Amino acid sequence: MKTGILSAKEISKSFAHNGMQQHILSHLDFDLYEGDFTVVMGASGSGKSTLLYALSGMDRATAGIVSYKGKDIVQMHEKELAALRHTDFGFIFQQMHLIGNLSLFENVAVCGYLNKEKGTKEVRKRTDELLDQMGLEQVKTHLPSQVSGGEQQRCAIARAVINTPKILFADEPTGALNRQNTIGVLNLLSELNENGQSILMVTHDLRAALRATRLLYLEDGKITGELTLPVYSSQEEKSREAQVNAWLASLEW
Amino acid sequence: MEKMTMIKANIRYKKGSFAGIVILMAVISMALLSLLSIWDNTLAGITDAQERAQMGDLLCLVNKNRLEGKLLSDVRSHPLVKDVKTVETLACNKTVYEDYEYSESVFLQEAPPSGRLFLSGGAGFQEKTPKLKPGEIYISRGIQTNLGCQTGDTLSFTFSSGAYRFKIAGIMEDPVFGASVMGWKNLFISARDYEKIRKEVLQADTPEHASVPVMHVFVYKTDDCKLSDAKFARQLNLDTGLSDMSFGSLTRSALTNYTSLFPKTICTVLTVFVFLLLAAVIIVVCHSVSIGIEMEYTTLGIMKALGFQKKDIQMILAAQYLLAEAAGILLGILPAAPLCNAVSNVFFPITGIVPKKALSVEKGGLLLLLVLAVSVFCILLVTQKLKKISVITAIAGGKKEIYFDSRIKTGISQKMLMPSLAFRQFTSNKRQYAGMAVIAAILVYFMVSMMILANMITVRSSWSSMGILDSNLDVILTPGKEVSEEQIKEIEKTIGENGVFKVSHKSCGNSNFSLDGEQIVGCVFEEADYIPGLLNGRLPEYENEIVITEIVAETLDLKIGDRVTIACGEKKAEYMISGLNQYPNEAGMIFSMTMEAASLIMNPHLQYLGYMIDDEAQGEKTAEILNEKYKDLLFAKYSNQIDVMYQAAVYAMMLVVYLFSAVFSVVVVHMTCSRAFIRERKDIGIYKALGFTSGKLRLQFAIRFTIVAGTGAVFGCAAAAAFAEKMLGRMLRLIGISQIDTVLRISTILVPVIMICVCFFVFSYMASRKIKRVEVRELVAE
Repeated sequence: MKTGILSAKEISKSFAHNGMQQHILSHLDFDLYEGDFTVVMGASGSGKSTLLYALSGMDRATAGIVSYKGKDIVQMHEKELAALRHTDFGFIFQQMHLIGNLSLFENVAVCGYLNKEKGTKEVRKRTDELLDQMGLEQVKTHLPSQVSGGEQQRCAIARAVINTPKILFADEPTGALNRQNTIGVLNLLSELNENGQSILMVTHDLRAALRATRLLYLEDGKITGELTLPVYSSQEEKSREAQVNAWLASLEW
Repeated sequence: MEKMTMIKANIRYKKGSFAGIVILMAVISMALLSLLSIWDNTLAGITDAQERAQMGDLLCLVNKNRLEGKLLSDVRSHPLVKDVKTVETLACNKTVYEDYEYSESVFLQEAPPSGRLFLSGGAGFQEKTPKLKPGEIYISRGIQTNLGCQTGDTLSFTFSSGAYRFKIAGIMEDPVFGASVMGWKNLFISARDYEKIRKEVLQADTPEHASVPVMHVFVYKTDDCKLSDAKFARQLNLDTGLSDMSFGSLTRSALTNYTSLFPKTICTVLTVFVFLLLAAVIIVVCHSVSIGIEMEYTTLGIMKALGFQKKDIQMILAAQYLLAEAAGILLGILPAAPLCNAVSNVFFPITGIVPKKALSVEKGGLLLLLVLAVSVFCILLVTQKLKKISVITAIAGGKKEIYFDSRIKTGISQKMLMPSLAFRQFTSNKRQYAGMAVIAAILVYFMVSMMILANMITVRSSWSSMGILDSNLDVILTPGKEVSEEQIKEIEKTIGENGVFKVSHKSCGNSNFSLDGEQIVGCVFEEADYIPGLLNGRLPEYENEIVITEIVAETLDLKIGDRVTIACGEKKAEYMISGLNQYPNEAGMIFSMTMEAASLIMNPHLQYLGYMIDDEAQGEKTAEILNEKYKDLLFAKYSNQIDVMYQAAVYAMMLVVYLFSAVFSVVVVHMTCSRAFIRERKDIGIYKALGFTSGKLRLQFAIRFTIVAGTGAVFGCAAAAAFAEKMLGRMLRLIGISQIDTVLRISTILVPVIMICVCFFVFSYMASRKIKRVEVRELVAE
């Protein structure tokens, strides 16, 4: 029996555009389970990024409830949301979004410093460990502009997990990477998931989707399909790919 | 047309930045125009008053018996003289208001029929001047300021024939000695009173002490005389000996200079400040243009791709900033007129002149046009880098912002997370804050300079270095009474009985002399040691030596070792200059000599004794005892405060400088903050996404701007340490101080630095409120 960690009830999100309301999400229900690697797929404009932002508290749903630890994050004040972001939630962006004037080490450590439960020494040690794990020990003093896109994204992952979040959100984390870097980043995410990290990722990249243990398909702001998969193993990639392709084909992807 | 479209679009897009420039230019143009107008109006007011009084080009104060005979006819027949007019006066050396004795001579005279009475506060003139009744007197505004008396109060004048009391019936315009900075004063009484006093005084005079009327001789140059007033006076004196025979001689331009001394000094100091701010604004504008070119690389590149040439873009940029500056200037002109009206009378209690109330449109307009021209020139220089914009790079998305490792990189600390991040933001993008740091430096420089000035004025220890005679117990010996050395010893013994004291100075006061034909005031001290503010050379050791001020040395092209001929009346003697000093009396146009030296050409009498009493509590009591014990011999007064007027002037200047600093801080911080916000919009979003609250980010912004202010403040303080002394010395030359000793206290530095840092902190915190309004998704979604 899976334990729910985050749930959304009847969430809707709409934007005003040229005086017209555009409904991106409409009365959507969603549950995220502990230890799952959940991947949301869907065509461009289907609302998958909007869903991710609404669930992670980066954006507020227009209506509905997003419940985390018994609290509705839609109703949270800015301070509560900020606390949630540096304790329980980690976020990886497609464009990495590292702070340009901080070194890779500092980009990661800054996030750790926000968590007052940990001392400076502990944060620095953890940062070093994470950067080692991400293969960035040689470039940790470099500025983001001095390293490759893959290294930047690996740093962004380290930053997202520095405070051992309960949920790691990832918005197209491989969208801006080449093939080699994509594999590296996906391997890292799989490794994190194997160690118990709950992950919610949106992507339209099939290679990324293969890493999921649970696949959701979003269409016109509603979840129209779901596929459960075993934990990823590179040996079974081909059969897994076929299974996912077939599932996607059934959804007219 | 396409250029107009671009200009309009750019102004719309960067309206925050342009609004800042408009405000800064408005403040500057308002200040410049107001200062210029106040100064012009003061001068015009003085000139008008002089014209109304038909004042001559030269005024000599001559004892009537000296003027009679050949001297007056020689003057009248001099080829450079068009006319000579004389006014008979009675000089009085003891004027008392309540318990206070005025220490300078006053001249009682018949009220002129054309004399005009001021309305309250110098708001204008009364329509009619009532004829004075017996026992009534009209006084000048200057003596009202000096004595603090009001209409209806009583003044007492003591002559050899006794004391005469007059009730003040009004305040009359007097362009001659009507300013408070003038020692001598004219007072106006009825013809009947004048005749009565004259008769009684002349009857009471003894052969040993004869008070004769003093003639005010106004000499008018011929219309074709091209000589300056000073040269005319010198030539006339060389040819007729008029000034030599006078005990006071002042040209019209010298009187104008004395009357306008205060407004001139204050306007000069503030104008220098405003010009420095103007330079800072031009730097900010150029910086804004330069940063704008970098930020809008893509747009400008696309414009080039569309066929705009470098000079077209230059024109567009220059035109939009020119428009903002011109709008600011126009906006500043509007309040300048009412401001000028409101503050023009601020100097009235000092000048005793009703200023005009016109706006110096022509001069001001020319000046502001010049400002615009300089600004355009600077923008054209800065926009030279437009030619480096590559169309290809622009089309490919422009230049990405790339940070480089700063040489002053410091770590990010958990305990000081916000300050360390703020410092990193500052060091990573120093150029962006350069303009603001320059402004902070200029503001701090001026604030520190004003603090130094205030310290100089209020800290007694600095007075002696400036050549100010520093005493808190002043004893004025009754004119005409011979005081022996034994009597002085007895007076000092009485002072000593009330506490420890030291002698500050003993002098015969100022007299008018001719120095190589130039009219100049000399102060005669009992001993050389009392001569103040020696800068170079040495004090006189022999009877034929004098000390002159640096200002006299420069004006008359004299140096140590030069020999000069000094005349007083008919007696002359040759003296050698033994040293240079500074002595702010007579605006620095003064020389000093000993009684021994003066006795070669005059018969000096000790008149002023200055003492410094250590125990301030005993001061008043000592003065009272002296006044009671030596009633007929002296008048003593105790004062431990500098002239309230000087203090008020310095504090007013400080207030203006501090106010300007606050206004400039808010505008510049707002401008830079808006730009930084646009530039860092993405970073702010990322920080928010990582869990930073708006409050923390705003705090980081505020700390960063405080760091910029602090950096600017360090440069400002360094500049003040290097240049403030010289700058203040230059400015204070106007009042006779050529060199100053900077009085630096911790507060001199700390108050301005804290003020600018607090301003920058508060204003940047307020300006960064936009951070609160932006949603994370809006910032990070791509």
